[in-house]
Amino acid sequence: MSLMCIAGGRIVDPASGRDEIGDVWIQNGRIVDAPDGHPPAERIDASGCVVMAGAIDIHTHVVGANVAAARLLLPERYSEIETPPEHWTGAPFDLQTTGALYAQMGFTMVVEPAVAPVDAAATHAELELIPYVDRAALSVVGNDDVLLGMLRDKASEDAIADYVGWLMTTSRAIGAKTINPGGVAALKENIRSFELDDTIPEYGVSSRQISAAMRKALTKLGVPHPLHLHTHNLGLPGSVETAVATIEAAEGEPLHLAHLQFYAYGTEGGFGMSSGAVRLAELLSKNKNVTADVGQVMFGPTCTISSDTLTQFNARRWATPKKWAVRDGDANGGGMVPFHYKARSKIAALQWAIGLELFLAIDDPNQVYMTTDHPNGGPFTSYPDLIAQLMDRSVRQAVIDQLPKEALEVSALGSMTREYSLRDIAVMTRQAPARLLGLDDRGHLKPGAAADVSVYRENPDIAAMFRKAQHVTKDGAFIVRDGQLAPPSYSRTLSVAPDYDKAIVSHVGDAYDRRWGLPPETFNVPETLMRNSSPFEVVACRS
Amino acid sequence: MTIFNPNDPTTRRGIEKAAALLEQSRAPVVVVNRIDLAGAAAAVTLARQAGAVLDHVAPTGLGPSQEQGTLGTVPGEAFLRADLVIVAGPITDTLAHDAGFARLTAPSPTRTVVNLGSAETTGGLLSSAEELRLDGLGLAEQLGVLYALAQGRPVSLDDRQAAEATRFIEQRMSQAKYGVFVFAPDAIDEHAQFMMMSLANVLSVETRWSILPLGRPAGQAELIRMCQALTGLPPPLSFAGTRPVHDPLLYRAVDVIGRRETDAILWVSACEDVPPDWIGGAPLAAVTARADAILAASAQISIGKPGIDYPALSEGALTGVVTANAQTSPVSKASAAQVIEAIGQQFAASQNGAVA
Ligand SMILES: [Zn+2]
Repeated sequence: MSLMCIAGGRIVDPASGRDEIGDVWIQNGRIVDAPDGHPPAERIDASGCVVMAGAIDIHTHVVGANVAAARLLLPERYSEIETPPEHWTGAPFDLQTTGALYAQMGFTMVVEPAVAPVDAAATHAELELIPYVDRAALSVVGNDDVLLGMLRDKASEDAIADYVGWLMTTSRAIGAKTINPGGVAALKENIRSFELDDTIPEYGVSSRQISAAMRKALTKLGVPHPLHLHTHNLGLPGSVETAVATIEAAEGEPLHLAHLQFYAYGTEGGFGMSSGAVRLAELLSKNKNVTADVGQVMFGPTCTISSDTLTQFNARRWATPKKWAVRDGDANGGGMVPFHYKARSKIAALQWAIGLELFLAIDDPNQVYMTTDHPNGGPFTSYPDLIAQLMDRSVRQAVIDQLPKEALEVSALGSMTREYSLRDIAVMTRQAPARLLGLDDRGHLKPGAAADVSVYRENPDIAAMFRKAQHVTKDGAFIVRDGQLAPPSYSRTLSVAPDYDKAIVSHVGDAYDRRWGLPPETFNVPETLMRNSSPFEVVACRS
Repeated sequence: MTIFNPNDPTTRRGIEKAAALLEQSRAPVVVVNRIDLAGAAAAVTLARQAGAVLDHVAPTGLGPSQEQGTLGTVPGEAFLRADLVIVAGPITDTLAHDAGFARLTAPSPTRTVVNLGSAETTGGLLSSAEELRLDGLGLAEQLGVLYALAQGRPVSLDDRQAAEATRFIEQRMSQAKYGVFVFAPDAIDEHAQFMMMSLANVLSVETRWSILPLGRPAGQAELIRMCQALTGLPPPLSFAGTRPVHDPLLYRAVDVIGRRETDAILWVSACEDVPPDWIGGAPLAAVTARADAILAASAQISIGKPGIDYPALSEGALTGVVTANAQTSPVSKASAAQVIEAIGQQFAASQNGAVA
């Protein structure tokens, strides 16, 4: 591919320390050094623009059996969408729209965080239909009979690592996620609440044990992405205690907490719920081993989609409209509960405030990640508004002014003066996510990086600036040019292939034979059955 | 590797005829039955291209689940965990031949199987099963009686039947640790499904009950999944306008064809089935395992069977999820996706030709 120069823009690239007017050079799909005296074959004028690496969403529910079930639950909602995203009504976007909306915002990678390993083939067949961006998936482990049985039988750490390595490899995951460890399995035995040290009757195994085993397994395997943990008591007043206990239980080992906002709830105040965000932020500053994405609530209708069946089972009574689906799975299953975050609701207003508090109180933008847990807190298309709220105090004050006063009384948001810089945004949405996933050549603009570049025209309306990028390149090719989307092109699905002892497969085979009378290969994801040729790319594990 | 030669004269002729049929049509219908995931995706794309109505042959059974809460489970979990299985309604041929159903209803020391509703259709298939039958009532009504009793509401039944039903609720269903309703979704009406879900929900206030459709018509799950992934919407839908529109009343294939609202039908079924008898009344193109056997079709293109004549992603009866199935036959045949895509290419080419 010929030499291209994105010239004269404000380069904001924390990894290289650049925040300056300058050029970004691209050749053969990669960022390259400025060549001596070589004129570019193509010169893109980026004056008046901000230039960053492509953004990465580490946690967005865009495919899989649960998303499919949500679509099935709300077809009338989808029909109402004339021009997404402005008319988001809560039903998931189709895959073409998903890729297009991400590309237009300057995103070049998305991670589906909850793939049921048994559904991996169908999920990957969907994932590869998302155009423009790189894709990756986290496999859900931790409520499955094999892992729980191994813990019950006191299997060695090596054997557990082998199993996790096998499961991630066959389901083509970039990381592993544990969702309400033990709680989901316990629900099948009619247990309706589950704490860190409660045990699943059938296995005698606790949440603490499951998470510890998963952390150790991933470290042993050298998987770059730490355990992605959706801990228990999601959304309940008092869940801040669970979050604190979960962080302490990590014992200094790497851990990523999913959608921390939903666990930052105290019990003080007039309506029995208060913000625990500052407390968690302080704890994170002392526990650099822990990262968190926020799961910001944005006002409007949505459909909550989660493999935390225990939480969704209990949340079914809040369904708006009054319909929902909760399904036990072979491991986690799923719960789809439509919901409406209303700005006039004290609870929703406080949830919104708590999310922003987390963003603003966690000093290090390497530790906090921008998500709405799409679509659980709101759609990913609200990211530009969220960025504006983080970068401009007056934008969030305008929202605060619309909200019930009681909600803000139990939140510290009103007194927070911090405003994110463009550098903070670039760290949080580019550099840090790439590092968290182990992608050395993404999230920055240093020579050698993939030429995933977003160019935004500077605009005092920050949300407008980030809603529609001027140009976006993926591996050096334009996916958005002059604000216009290119015809769909398809990139890759990234996954790890850790080393593990293949002898574990016979152990898995026994369990699968009991469950289905089928061999473990049943759930493979053959590349030959994907629609695009070579849709997969392996990310190196650490040795 | 699958063998597909679009230039084979017979195949070529079939593809051209099918494409021409769609092109000349003002209101085409694409009906899909028994198809793999890739074939389903191709069918959605072709239907969109042709501005067609798209549907599968099975009743959707979506109505009840779109109106209230649903507690579900999967075959593997039901097999390992269920202590009480209620087979609601008739045991259809498809259900009787479903591997997951056979496994779940086989004699077991830890599980009781009860047939509710229609003893005469049990046909000895469930020799070990008990039966509960409230005389003179249909399935939905019987479920409704149990639902009322589960909530402690009175019912107007004769004393013997009321006592039997009460005993069943109190001593069996409420006592189950993991109860599962099993049913063939195309064999019981939406009212019965609705009542079954309501009953599972009310029992689950105290214990665990779920519903589990088994013996689903093959291809339905695959088409729903891909149709939704590509359009955001489940079938039936119409691509006639600028945006796809889902409407289970307006666009059900059986009704659209019955109302004579079509002038061309593309029937895709990766098996030897002749189409259901309601398919007709308009020119027909058939893409099936033995298309030449469908004499009514003006265009016939033969394909292989997924997981037999070509490797495919399709739903497994034992797992309830879409998994990879290797080719088992030594001889490869064309896949549904290959043929449908070829029709789409021919369609596009002739459209471009018409423009030029
Ligand atoms: Zn999530």
